[in-house]
Amino acid sequence: MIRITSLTIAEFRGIRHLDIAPDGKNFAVSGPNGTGKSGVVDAIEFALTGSVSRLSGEGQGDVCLKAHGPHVDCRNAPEKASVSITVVVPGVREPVVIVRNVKTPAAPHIAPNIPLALEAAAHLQRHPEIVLSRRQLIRYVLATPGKRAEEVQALLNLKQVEDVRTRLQRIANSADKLVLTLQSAAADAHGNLRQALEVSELSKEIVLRAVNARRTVLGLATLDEFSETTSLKDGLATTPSGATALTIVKSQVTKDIKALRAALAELTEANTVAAVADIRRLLEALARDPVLKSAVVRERFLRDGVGLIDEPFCPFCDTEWDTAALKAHISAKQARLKDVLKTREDLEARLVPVRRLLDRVPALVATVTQHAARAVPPRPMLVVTGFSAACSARAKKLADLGALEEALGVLGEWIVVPQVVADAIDEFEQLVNALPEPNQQDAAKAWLVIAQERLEVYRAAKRKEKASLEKAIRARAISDAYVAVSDGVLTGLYTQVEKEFARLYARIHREDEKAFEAQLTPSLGKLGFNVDFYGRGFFPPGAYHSEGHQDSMGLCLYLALMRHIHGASFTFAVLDDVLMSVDVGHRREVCALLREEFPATQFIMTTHDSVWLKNMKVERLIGPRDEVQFRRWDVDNGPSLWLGRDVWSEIDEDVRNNDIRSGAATLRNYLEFMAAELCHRLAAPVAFRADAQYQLGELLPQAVARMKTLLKKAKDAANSWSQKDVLAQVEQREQSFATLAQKADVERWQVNALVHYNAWANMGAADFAPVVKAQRELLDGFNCSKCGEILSLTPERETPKVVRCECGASNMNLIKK
Amino acid sequence: MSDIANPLPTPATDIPMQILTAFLDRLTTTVDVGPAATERLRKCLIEARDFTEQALRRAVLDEETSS
Repeated sequence: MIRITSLTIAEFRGIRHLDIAPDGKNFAVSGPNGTGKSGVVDAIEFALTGSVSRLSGEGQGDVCLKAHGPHVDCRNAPEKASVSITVVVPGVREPVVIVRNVKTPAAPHIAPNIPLALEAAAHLQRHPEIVLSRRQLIRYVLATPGKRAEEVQALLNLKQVEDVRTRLQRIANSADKLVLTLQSAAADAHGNLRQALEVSELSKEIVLRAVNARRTVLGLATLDEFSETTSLKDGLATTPSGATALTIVKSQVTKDIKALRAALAELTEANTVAAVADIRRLLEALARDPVLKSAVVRERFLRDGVGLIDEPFCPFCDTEWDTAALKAHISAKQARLKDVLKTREDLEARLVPVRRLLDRVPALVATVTQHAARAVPPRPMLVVTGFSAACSARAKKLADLGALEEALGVLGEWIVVPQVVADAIDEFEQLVNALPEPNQQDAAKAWLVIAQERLEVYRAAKRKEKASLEKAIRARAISDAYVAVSDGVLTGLYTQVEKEFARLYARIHREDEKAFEAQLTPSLGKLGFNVDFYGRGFFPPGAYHSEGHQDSMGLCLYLALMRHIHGASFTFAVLDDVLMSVDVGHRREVCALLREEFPATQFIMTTHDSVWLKNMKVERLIGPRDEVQFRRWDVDNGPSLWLGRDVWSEIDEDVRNNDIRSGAATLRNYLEFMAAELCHRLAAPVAFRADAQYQLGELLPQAVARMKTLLKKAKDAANSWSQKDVLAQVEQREQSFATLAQKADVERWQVNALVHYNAWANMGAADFAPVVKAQRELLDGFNCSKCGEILSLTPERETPKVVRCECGASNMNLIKK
Repeated sequence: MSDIANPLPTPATDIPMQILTAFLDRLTTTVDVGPAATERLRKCLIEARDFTEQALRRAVLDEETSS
C-alpha cells in the first residue's frame, strides 16, 4: 500500500482550499466538532477510492457524492471539487499524484502513468477499509452476529465468498427439486405405458408377451429382447412420408378419456375441496405467526442436518465431533420444536396428494390430445391443453412451503374444471364413439404405435430423470466442496484474527486484562464474537465491558483484520475519531500500541479532543509538527487553522477592515491556544484545573516565566562548561526575550478590554496594530529562528536536559558540568 | 532508467481468490465432479470473474438458464 506525503483539497465538502503535508508520517487533524475534520477524511477516501462512504450506503437517503460532494457553493460545478493526493508507492521511485474531481470520480488523473502506479491506485480503489470511522468501529463490536458477519466480510472483502456459497447452495437445492419433479413425470409416463400395453408391470416377459401377441396378428417377427433401444413396432409398414399409418383404437382412447375424467373429477370432488380448505386454514395460521413461520424453516434445517451426521467428524470442516452427543443436542432442539415439526409434517403430508392430483392432469391430457391429433381431421384441444398448463403451474407453487403466500393463493382459489374443458372432452369422445370398430390388424397396428410412442415418452422421461440426478449429485458435490473449503479457510482466518485481536487488546489493558481472550465463531453467515470478562467467562463485548473498552476492542479487531488482510502492505489507515470514549490512561497505551506494533503504518487520525491530541504527542505517535488544528469553520471560508499563517492573516484582515473587536477576539483565543501549547512543550508549572478550562492569565505568564527559567539554566550550564560562544548566544536570547515579554505584557491588557466590550476601549486600527505586533513577537520568541518551530524540552517526562527545536539549530543544554 | 526503486511488499492476502483456488484444487483432486465441470467453473470464477447465479448455474449444470 501507500503513504501520503501531501494532500490538496479544493471546493470539496466543507473545505474551500486546504493543503496538508503529512510527509509519509503519522498525522493528526484536530479541532472542535464541526470545524471540518471529517472533510479531510472524506477527501482522502475520495482521492484514493473515488467514493465517500459517508455519502453512500444505508441510511443516506437522497444524499450522494455527485450532488453533495462539492462545497455547497460549487454544487453546480462538480468539476471544481477536487482532491489531489501525493503518495509514495512501494516500487515507484517518484511520488505518485492522484487527482480526482467529483464530476468524474471514476476517472482519476494518475501521474506518472506507469503500470505500478496504476496498479497501486486500482488496489486502493478496491480497499475502502483503509478509512475507519467510529460508526464502523462500533458495528464490529456491538452488531448482531449476522450484521457483524456482513461488516467483517465487507472489511475482508468476503462478500463474494458468501455470495458464491449461497448461490451454489441454491443451485444444488433447485437441482434436487428438479429431480423430484422429473421422477414424478417418469412415474406418470410409466403408468401411461403400462396402460397402453395393458400390463400390470413392465417386466421383460410380460411386455414381450403383450407386444408379440399384436406382432403375430400383423405377421411381424416376434421380439426376443426388450432393451433400451428396442422398437415395439419394428418392421411395421410406414407411409411414404415415414409416418406409420394408424387408426384410432377406440378402446384405448376410451380408457384414456375415462382416466382423464376421473382425475378431473377427483380435483373437484367434495373430499378434495374439504382437504384443500383444511390445509389452507393451517397455512393461514402459519402465515399469521412470524415466529412459527421462522421456526418451520429452522426445524427443517435441523432435520436435514441431523441426517448428515454419519461420521465422527464434520463433513464441512473435518473437525472431530462426538456423534452421539451432537445428535442428542440436535434432537433436544428438535424436541423443543416438536409442535412446529408436527405442523410442518402435517402440512407436507396433506399437500402431497393435492399436488399429485394437479401433477397427474398434464400427463393424462397429453395422452388424450395425442389421440385427438390422429383424428381425421385432427381435433384441436386447445382449451384442454391450456387447463393442463394451469394445473402444472399450480402444482409448482405447492412444491415449496417457503413460498407460503403463493401456496395460499393456489389453495385460496382452488381450481375448477371449466365447462368448456369438459365439453371439449365430451365432443372428442362422441367423435371416437361414432367411428367404426377397427379390424384386428388395424387394432394391433394402432396398439403397437401407441405403445411405442408411450415407450419413447417413458424412455425420454427416464433419461431426463437420470440426467437431472447426475446434475443434482454434481451440484451438491460442488456446493459441499465450496462450503468445506471456504469454512476451512475462514475458520483458519478467524482463529488467527482472534488471537491477534486478543494480543493487541491485552497489550492496551495489560494492567488488569493481561490474560484476555476472545472467540470469533463463524457459522452459517453469522460471526459470533465473545470476549473474556476478567476470567468469569466469555460474553458479548457489550455485556459487561465499558464503552471505552468496547472502543478499544473495535480498534484492535480492525487492526488485527487489516494486518491479516494486508500483511506487510498495511502501510496506511485513516482513523476518524475512533477512540472518543477510551479513558486517558488507555489512550496513551493505544498510542504506544499504534507506534510500536505498526511502525510501518502511516495513521492519519482525527480527533475533537485536545487531551487525546496531547497523548499522541506525548507518546510520540505524532511528531510535534505532524498535525493540523482547526480553529473554526464557516461556510464561506471552510476551516481555518490555529497553526500556520491563517491566524495572523485573519487578524491583519480585521485590522485593515477596522474590525478591531473581531481581531481582538481572534488574538485572545489564539494566545490561549498557544499559551497551552507552550506550557505543554516547556513543562511550565500551572495550577491544575480538573475541567482543563484554563484562561490566558493562568497560562501565558507561566510559559513566559518558564522560558526565562530555562534560559537562565542554559546560561548556567554554558558557564559551567566554559562555552563562551554558547553563553553569549543564550544571554542575547535571554535579553531579547525579556524585552519582548515586557512589551507584550504592557500591551496585552487592551486585548481583554476589547474582548469584553468595555465602553472606554474604543481602539482604532493604529492603536491595535502595535498590540498585535507585540504578541506576535513574543510568540516568535519561543520559536527557533531557523525552522520557526516552538522550542520543546527533551526528554519530556524526566529531568529536562535540553531545550531544542525540531531542526536542531536551536539546542540549549541545561545540565551543568 | 527503471522505475523500480524497491520491490513491492508482500501482496495483500486475497481471501476470496485463496478460497477459489483451494476449491478448484479440491474439485480436481478429491471431489469427483468431472474435469469438464471443473474447467467450466475455473473459466467462470477465475477467468471471467463472473459470480452471478446465472453464470454459476451454467458452469455447474452445463445448461443455459432462462433468467
